[in-house]
Amino acid sequence: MKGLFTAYRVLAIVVGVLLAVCSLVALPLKYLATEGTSLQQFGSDLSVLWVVHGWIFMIYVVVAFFLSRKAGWSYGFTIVALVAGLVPLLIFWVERQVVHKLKVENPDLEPVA
Amino acid sequence: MREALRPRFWPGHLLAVVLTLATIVLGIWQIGAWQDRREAEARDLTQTAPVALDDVIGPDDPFPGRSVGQPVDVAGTWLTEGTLFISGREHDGRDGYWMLTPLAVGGGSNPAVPVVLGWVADPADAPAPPTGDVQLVGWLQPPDGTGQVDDDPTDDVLPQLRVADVIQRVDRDLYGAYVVADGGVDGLPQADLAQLPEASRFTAVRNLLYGIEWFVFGGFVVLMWWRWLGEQLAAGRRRDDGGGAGETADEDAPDTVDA
Repeated sequence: MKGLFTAYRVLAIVVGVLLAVCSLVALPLKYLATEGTSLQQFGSDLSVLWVVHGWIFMIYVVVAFFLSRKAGWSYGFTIVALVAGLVPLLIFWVERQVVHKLKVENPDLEPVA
Repeated sequence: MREALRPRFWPGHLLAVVLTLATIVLGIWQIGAWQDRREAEARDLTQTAPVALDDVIGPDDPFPGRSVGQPVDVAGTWLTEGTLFISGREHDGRDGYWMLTPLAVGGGSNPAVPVVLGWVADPADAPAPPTGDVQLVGWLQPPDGTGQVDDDPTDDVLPQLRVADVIQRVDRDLYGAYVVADGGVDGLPQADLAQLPEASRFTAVRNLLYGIEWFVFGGFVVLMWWRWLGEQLAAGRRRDDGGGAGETADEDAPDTVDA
């Protein structure tokens, strides 16, 4: 449970950061910056991170699902937690909710920063 | 098993089937996009502007691997007497021959490059081989090397386009390549390129990775469904155990339901 919890938090933050960079930096630069500028090229190159996000998200989904079953979350919350990896910034809020939920229910998880 | 088929589980089963099918379709779509983009890139080189033959390959050079299908501009004199036919060549699904005449690049006694003039169904129907000087555009191709044996070395038909075989017919050096004439010569239908350039290994690799990802998600959907069903059945059993004895009596041993 504790290992799963830690893995979940790390993956959530990595997926969240990657998604934020991809959707809030790479995407606007690629499509809104002037064609041919180095800024546009940078956005275009940065778009490779979408693939990285996709694969880490895959692991996140599996870990989050097993955690949800162990912790006995409702199906509604489980689905929000899974989909959060696809909605920019939502995952940071979800991660806080998860930490809060689990710490209330399992005080032994407390010493996680 | 009968338990899992209860109507109240149907929406869950349906959702699992729909989602799994969706991931499979999306995965196939991405893999298709990956293949299409690779083919498109392979074709792209054959659509570029032609360059002079000698900028790509010299008479004694090995074939430049990156120039398969490169359009080249070549001028010279036909070596009419070296005309040959290559058997086993398809065009529009019909078996036939390529008609080939070497071209002395730049004329005189310069080395020659074999030029595929076009496709014929039968060498007997072939037009008279070209003579004189010409300037043409064609696609550069590496020679064949299938190791097929010419079963009749005395005729003008070869089973493969090999420089060592063609050189028997012309008394001069040959390039280590041949050219497929663009549009065909003397009204012959253009021969189809035997070898297209290869797309880079990383072309559209993103589509491939997305495709694989979708299949993995498909597997995950099945996993979620399995866990969900297991939990539902376990919960149902707990309810049954806690409920009236009369309700469990008509079930055949519900605790053997394997979740």
